[in-house]
Amino acid sequence: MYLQTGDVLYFKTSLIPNNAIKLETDLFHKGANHNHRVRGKFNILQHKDDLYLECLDDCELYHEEHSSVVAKQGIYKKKIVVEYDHLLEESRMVID
Amino acid sequence: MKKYELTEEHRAQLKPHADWWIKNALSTKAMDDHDKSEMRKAIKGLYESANLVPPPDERIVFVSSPFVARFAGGFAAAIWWLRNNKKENVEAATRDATRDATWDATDDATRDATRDATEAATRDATEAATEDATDDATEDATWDATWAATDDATSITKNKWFNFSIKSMINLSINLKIGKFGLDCAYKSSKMWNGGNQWSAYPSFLSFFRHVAKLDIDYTKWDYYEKAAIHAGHRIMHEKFCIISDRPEILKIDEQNRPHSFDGPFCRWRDGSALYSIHGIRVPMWICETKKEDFKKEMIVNETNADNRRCIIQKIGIEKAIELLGAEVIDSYESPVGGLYELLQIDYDGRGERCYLKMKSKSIDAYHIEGVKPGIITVKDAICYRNGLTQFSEPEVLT
Repeated sequence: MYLQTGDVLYFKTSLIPNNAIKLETDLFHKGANHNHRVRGKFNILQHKDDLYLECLDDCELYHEEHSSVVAKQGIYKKKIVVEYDHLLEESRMVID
Repeated sequence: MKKYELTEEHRAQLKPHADWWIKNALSTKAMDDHDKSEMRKAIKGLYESANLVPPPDERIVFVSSPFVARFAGGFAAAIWWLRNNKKENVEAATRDATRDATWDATDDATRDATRDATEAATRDATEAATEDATDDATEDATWDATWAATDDATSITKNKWFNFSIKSMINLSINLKIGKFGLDCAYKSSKMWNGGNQWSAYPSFLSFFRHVAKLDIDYTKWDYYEKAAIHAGHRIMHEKFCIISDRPEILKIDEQNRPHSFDGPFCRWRDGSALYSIHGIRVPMWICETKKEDFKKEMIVNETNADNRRCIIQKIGIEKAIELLGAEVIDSYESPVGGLYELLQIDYDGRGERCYLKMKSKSIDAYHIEGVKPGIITVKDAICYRNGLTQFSEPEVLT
């Protein structure tokens, strides 16, 4: 199960790694033009290159441009959609 | 104790009050002599309200645009600081010079800066000597900056979302003998910044209680800030000087009040400096300055920023984009969550077909076209690739 706001995907998961570090922020993803923020009771945690959102209650996934999404209580792992650059012949995360 | 409760009479004034301030924020009226006279009074009042000595009239400088204000303010701050300090550590000097202006005494470094500024303020003997030189430098800086900006107004450089010659500012900084230090001060001059009429939200809120609710508060000091938000654009306030920008001559917005213009800048000042944006997204000026009919398919497929690509498609229209790209639809899928997806094959350089996924964002009513890996021939596989799925599944919600 996953949610999607623009180029950010929130994959439901059951565990956060033990040594994940809690970040003091509401910013889940910083885009080149728009930011993805979270509103409500939540924790944002980082483990290596992975980012997790722990919603302690229903939270609002807020984006300045797209409509907001409600994430139910639970744990979500961040992924960014990818696209293929046919000129460079490589995949890359979508930049917006 | 409750000091105020919104009455029906005051509630009726909310919209007209907000509309007045929105109109103020969007004003394109050139500053006239009355505005300048009001600004001189307001600026002096602001300094005095903060128990600071206001700059003399000749150091309340009016300039053509925020670009000029930014560089002239940074350069003038650098010059003042260098003349009042003998530090050799340029990195520390940059930090102190820009923090002098903020009068922020919350950390060690700023305390140093405040001490430096206080020391500088007591050097009456040297101050008079440096005054003229700095006035000249500031004047030169603003004049040269204005000239350079105007001269360069027609240049189009790829990926710049503004029109202003940074190169001429680098040359100017070298000519003023402040080099990288001057440019660093200009870079950090946002610490001395106020948005003037374009920061109308805050004065709109507070002035409601002054002019509509008529709270029994002494608004004498606030009046200076309010007037400065009405009679001019952005400004830089420094211990020794104040630089005030004119309002723009063009300012365009979309139906949601976001900066927007498909054709040309959404905001342009009278010296030619300008900003570019499509529906609130900063875009390279070439996207707005290129005529619809002059777009080529390479301009779309070579653009690496997805938002920029989407803005091009919004500007020229999806039909024109498909026609330009010479695309053939090889698969389509109507998603109950995401709407219609189409997989396009495009040969844009004669070297074979490349696949792109075309989709429409419902929440922003805009089309996206994004490349997918070679070998993908169905929309569902393309979505799997895009979302990192091993097996196709729809998102529960998609906006």
